[in-house]
Order: sequence, then C-alpha cells, then structure tokens
Amino acid sequence: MLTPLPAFAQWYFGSSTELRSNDNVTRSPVAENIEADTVLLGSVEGGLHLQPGVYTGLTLSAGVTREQFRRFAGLSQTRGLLGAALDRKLGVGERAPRLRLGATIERADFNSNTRNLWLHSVRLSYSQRLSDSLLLTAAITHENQQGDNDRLRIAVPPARQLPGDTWNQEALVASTALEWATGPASWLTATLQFRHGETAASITPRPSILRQATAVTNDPLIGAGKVAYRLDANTRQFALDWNLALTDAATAYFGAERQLTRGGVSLSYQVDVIRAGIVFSY
Amino acid sequence: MLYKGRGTCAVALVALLAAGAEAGSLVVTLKDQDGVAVSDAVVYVASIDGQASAPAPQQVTVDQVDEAFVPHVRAVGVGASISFPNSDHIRHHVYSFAPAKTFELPLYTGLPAAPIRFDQAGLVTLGCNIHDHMLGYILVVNTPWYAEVASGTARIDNLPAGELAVRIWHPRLSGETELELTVQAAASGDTTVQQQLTLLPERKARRAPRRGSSRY
Ligand SMILES: [Cu+2]
Repeated sequence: MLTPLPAFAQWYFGSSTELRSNDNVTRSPVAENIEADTVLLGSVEGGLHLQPGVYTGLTLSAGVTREQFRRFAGLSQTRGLLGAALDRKLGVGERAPRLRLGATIERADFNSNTRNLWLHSVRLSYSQRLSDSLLLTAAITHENQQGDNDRLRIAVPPARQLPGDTWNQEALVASTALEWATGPASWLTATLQFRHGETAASITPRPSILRQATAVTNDPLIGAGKVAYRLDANTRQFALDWNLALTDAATAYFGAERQLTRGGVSLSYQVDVIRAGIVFSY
Repeated sequence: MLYKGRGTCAVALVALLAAGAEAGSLVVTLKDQDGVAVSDAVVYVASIDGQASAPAPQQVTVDQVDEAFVPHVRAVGVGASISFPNSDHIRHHVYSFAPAKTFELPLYTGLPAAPIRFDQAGLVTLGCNIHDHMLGYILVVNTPWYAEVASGTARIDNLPAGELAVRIWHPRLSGETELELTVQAAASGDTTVQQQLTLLPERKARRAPRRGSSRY
C-alpha cells in the first residue's frame, strides 16, 4: 500500500501495450535495403501529481518501456524514463489554456549494446480545449542524445574522415495535435510533426550517400557489411489515430503514421507505421 | 430515493387547507429507449392550472466522493443554499460558469466556510478545476413541487388537483433540454405517469495514449 499523501498530491499509474508494423525499419533511402518488421511494445508508467496552487501543478514521473522486434532482434530495446513537468493553467475550468514545461532523461538499452544511449529532452507545450469535442495542442521539443559507443571503427573510409559517433544526435521538434471527439466514447487524434536535426539510418555503403553523412559506423545488427550513418535532415510526420474508450480506465486505439525524411542532396526516405494498442490509466 | 422540500410542503399544505382543496400525489415512472429505469433525472411541476408557486428556502448538500459529485444531479428550489463538502482526501476546486449561478470554491478539503445560495432558476453545471472528468448538475426550479428521479421513479406529494405542467429534465436527454407533459391531477390519491425518454449515450473519459517513439 502506498503511503498517505498530503491533500495536494496524488499518485497516478498507467500501462500500455501496442502491436506495430513498420515498413522501413532501417530508414533506408535505397529500395534494396528496405526492411520491414513488426514490434510488440509494453510499457508501465507511474508518478506523482502535485497541485500546490490553483494554477500551478507539478508532475513527477517514471516509466519503463520494452519493445520487442520480431526480425531485427538487436533493435529490441528497454527504455527507462524519468520526467518532471511544471503546469501553468491560464484560468479556471476545462476551457482554460495550459502551458507545460517538461524535461525527461531517458536511457535506451538495446539487445545489441552498440546502440545504447542516453537521451535528454526539454518540451514546452500549449494546449487549449476549443470546444467540447476539440482539443488543440502545440509543442516544441529539444532532444539531445549521447551514444555509449561513439568511438566505433569507421567501416568505409570515405573521401573525408568521418567520426564514428553516429548515435550522438541533436534535434528540434515542432508538433501540433488535434483531438476530435467523434462520439461519446471515441475520438480521432491527428498529429503533425516537423523534426529538424540529426538522424541516423542504415544502408549498404554507397559513396553518394556517405558523402553527405556526418558520422558513420558499422551496423552488423542490420546485416553484414551494412553501415549506420548520421545526417542532417528534416522529417515531416503525419499521424492519424482512432481511439475508443472501452471503460473509464481503458482505451483502445488504431492508427497510422507516415514519416518523410529529406536530407542532403536527393536523399530521402519514407517510413510507414501501422499500430494498434490498448492503454490503461488510473 | 427522492428528495422533497419539507418546509415547502408544509407551506403548500397550509395554502391548500385554507382554500379547502384536497391534495394528491404525482408518481412518475421513467424508462429509457431500451426499457431501462432512468436515474439522474428531475421531475417538477412548473405550474398548476397556469398558476406558479414559489418554493420555500432550504439547505442541501452536494458531496464529492471518489472524484465524483454525489448526487450527480441535484434538484433544488430557487433560494436554496447548497453546501459542497469534499469527502475525498485530495483537494477539489469546484466551479460553475452557468448564467444561473457563477461561483468558485478554490482548492479545499472538508467543508467550505459557507454554503452557496442559488437565487435564479436554471441549470448549473459543476466542474472541478483539477479533475476535468468531474461533472455534476444542479437544476434550480421555481416551484415547490419537484423530485429527483432514482431507479426510475419519482414521487411528488401534496399536489392540489388541476392541470399540471409537468417537466422532465435529464442531462442526456436527446433533442430537447426538457420534456413537457400536461397531466390532469386527481384531487386525492396517486396520479401516475409513465414516460419513455430518449437518452444519448454516456460520454466516457477521453484518456489520450501517451506515445513515445522507438529509438534507433
Ligand atoms: Cu477535483
């Protein structure tokens, strides 16, 4: 049993499970390197919500997520996350806009240790209920990740010397989401996201592509002779999810997502994801 | 379970005796479109033979238990004072933006300092500033004859004979905000009314899935 809390504090708990299909798990711009996979995800999250004042809230959270890849088992990962978020409500009631400033520290541990990393993120979001059936959220996130293995051997000596720290990346993400209630227990969530910054992808080495990379390293996990490279890129992401509240605590969802990444000269790849899952929150 | 304004009934009864009339009761049975007994409705008699009556002031409560307003629907006469105790351990912040009564009880536990008086007829929707899923209703009516409907029935006693303008309200009534019926009330005994309501489905809490992305 949890210890008694002061009247301004409240525990919360949630869990989720998801089945996901990804048609380009290696993010390849080259047809011959495109690989699909299915992923099973399970996660638990809990935390403490504090409400010291009418307009100010503080949420402390911790969570663990496990993702199991069917084909590329080395990509299977366990992520641990600690977060803190400060809420500022600009008024009273359901319609009052909310500002939230949050920071998270995440540790991702892959089955293949070469990819293990720490990720720090800071996020500022604004949300407002526009009507009983419409909720709008806009957010900006800064992400910085540091790989454990940033000195891996460079597999293909390109024209210029490239560092091996593919998993060290920095990016800025702007996103907006609209939640639209389509019935008493169902709603659609449309998400639009723009990511600007460093990203990683894997291929069979090609000079035309590696010339545009900012780091490169061996990626045996994806296949013999494959490399993972880092590049500066812009990713646009569109997602549409249909959610169905099964009970007051359980929600099922079904959705699709498309990511379009463009970096350097005529270098682009597309990833399509289809997902179905169920979340519980208490 | 039903609620009746006790003081009100005494006043009404005195008036009836003075006029030399008898009093009867109105018994309303409500079912929804699936034949299920309706709860959280309010039945009231707006006028009798076109004549309205004023309710007597009263004191009632709307509690907060397990992050819900209890009862979910409360009927009161104009002039009633309502206290809003918080029986939960966590603080609530009760508010209403309704034209009939706008008020706020900022973050508190236990019993707030003073009850709130409802001087105007109309619907008052209650919310909690901390817990968006908390939703409650107070229907303020300008009549001494009203009852909350639980498990499908409501009973209003001490009604004079005549043509009753009976109104039925429910938060999920489809199409209109209130249903109005004209009922001829007997001078004594029970006048029974059976009515089917078409209710909209109950809205469930929307808890958005939190989405983290795979790392690569
Ligand atoms: Cu509350």
